Amino acid sequence: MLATLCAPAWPAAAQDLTIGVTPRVIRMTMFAAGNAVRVEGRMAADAQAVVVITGPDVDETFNRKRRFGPVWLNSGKVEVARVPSLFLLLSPAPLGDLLRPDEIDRARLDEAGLKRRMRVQPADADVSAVRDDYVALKVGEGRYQFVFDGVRSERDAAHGFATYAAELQWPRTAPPDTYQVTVYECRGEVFTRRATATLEVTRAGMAAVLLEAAGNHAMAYGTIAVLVMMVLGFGIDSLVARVRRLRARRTRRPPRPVARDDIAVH
Amino acid sequence: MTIFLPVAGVSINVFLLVGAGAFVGFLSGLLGVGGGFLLTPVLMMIGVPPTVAAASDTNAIVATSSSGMAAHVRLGNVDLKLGVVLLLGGLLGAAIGVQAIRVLRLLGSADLVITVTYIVVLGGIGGYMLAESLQSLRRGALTPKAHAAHRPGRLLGRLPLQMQFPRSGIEHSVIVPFVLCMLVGVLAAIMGVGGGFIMVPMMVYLLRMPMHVAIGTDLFQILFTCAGLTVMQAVTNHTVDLVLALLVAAGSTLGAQVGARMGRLLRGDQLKIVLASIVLVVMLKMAVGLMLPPGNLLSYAKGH
Repeated sequence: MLATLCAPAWPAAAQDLTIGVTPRVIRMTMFAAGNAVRVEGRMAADAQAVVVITGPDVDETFNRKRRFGPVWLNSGKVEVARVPSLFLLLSPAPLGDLLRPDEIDRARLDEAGLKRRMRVQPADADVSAVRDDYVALKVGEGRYQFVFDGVRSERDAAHGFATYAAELQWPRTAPPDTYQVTVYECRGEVFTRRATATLEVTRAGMAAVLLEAAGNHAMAYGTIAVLVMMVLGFGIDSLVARVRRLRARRTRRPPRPVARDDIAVH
Repeated sequence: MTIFLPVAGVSINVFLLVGAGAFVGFLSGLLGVGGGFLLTPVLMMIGVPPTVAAASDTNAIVATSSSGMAAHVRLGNVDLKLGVVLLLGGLLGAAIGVQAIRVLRLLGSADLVITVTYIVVLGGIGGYMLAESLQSLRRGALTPKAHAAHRPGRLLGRLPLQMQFPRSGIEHSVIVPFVLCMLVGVLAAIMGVGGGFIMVPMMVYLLRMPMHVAIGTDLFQILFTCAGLTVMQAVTNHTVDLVLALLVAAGSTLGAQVGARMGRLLRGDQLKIVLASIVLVVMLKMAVGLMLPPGNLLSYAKGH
C-alpha cells in the first residue's frame, strides 16, 4: 500500500502510513447478505486516524417545495452538483477534538465542508437551505454517515507504531461503483499524511445479466417482463382454482352458485 | 432476508416487498383498483428509487390484474366486449393526457393542477360513492334482486352505434363508454395513475353497470394498459426492475385471489363503501400533506 504525503506540518514519521481494505471487491449478487467492510493499517505511534470513504461526484435534480399561502407545492427544480454519491466518515472522536478548526475547514471533511463544495442551481434558489436539506436527505438514506467513534487504535510503543481499524456495514442504498477509501493521519491537531485505496462494488451473477438486458435489449426485456407477469398471474389463478376444485370434490359439496349481483343502482 | 435489486441498485428486505404486494393485490381483487397509487409510495418508502418504483409497479400490476381478472372471469364478472371499448378509449385519453401534462409543465403549472385535480377528483368520487352507498344500506335493500337491463335515456338513445352488453346488462351507444373512458384516461395521465379508482365509479354510476362486473371489467383494461406502459418504460427509461416486480407480484397475485373471493361475500354497496373509504383516506392524506411542512423540502424528481 502506498503512503501519499500531503504537505507535512511535522517531519515524516519513521512508520509508514498504510491502508488495507477488506474486501477489496464487493460482488453484489442477488442474494448477497449484508457486507461488512474493514479498513485497517499502521500509523505513527502518537497519531490518530480518520477514515473516509467517498463515491464519485454526481449531479442530481430534485423537486423543491415552497409554501404558497397555506399549501406546500413543488415550486420548481434544483440541481445539486459536485457532491459525492457516498460519504462515510469514521473517526475515533469528533473532528473538533482531533483537529484545529482551520484544518477541518481546509480538509472539508465535515458536514460544513461538504456543503461548501456543493454547487446549487439555479442561482436564485435558497442555497443554504438546499444544502442543509440535501445532506439531511443523504443522511436519512444512509449514504452520508458521520461516525465519531468508528475507529479503534492500539499503540505498540515497543516498535514505535500504532495500528488502527474501522469496521462498517456497507450501506444497502449505495449503488455499485468504484469508491475511494482514504485514511488521514492526524498529529498535533493537523493532518500530516494520507493513504488511499479503492473499494469496488460490482453487480455479479444474475444481477449483472438482468442489468445488461435492461440497458441493451430493452424491448425484449420489457416484453419478457410483461409475459412473465402474465404467466405468474394466470398461473397462480389456475393453481388456486385447481386447489378449490380438489377441495370441493373431497368434501363432495355441490359447487357454489356464481354470485352475480347485488342491488341495482338507480 | 435481503435481496439485491439489479436495476434499482439497492438491497431490500424480501418480506417487505412481498407484503406490500399482497396488501395492494388484495385491494385489487376486492375493488378492481390497480393499486399503483398505493404501491409506488410504499415502494419509495422502503428505499426503492422513485423512477424504478413507478415503472416496476406498473409491471407488477400486470400480474395482479391477470390474476384478479381470471378470478372474475370464472365468476362471470368480465364484460370483454365493453372492456375492449373502454381500453381503446382509455389509451386515447392517456395519450391526450400526456400531451396536456407537457403543456402544463411548459406553463409551470403542472404540480398545482395535478394536486388540485387529485383532491377534487378523489374527494368528489369518494364522497359521492360513500353517500350513495350509505343511503342504499339505510334503505335496507336486504334481498338482492336481479340487475334489470339498463336502457339509455332518450338523448343517449339517439346516438349511433347502439350496442347491447349482455354481461353487464346495459345498452349504450359505443360512443358513450368510449368517450367516458377517454376522459378517465386524460385524468389518469394527469394524475399519474392507472385510473381504476376513477374507472370503477364511472362504470357504476354513469354506465349503470353492476359493481362486481365493473370491477372485473376494469381489471381487464388495467391489464392491457399496464402491459403497454411497462414496455414503454423499459424502452424509454430502462427503469423496470424485473426482480422487484416479481417479488411484489408474488404477493399481489395471491392477494388478488383472496380479494376477489372476499368480494363475493360483500354486496355491491358494501364494496362501494370500502372503495369510497380508501379513496377518501388517500384524498385526506394528500390534502393534509399539502398543509403540513414536509420533513425535507427536496424530493427526487420522478422523471416520468
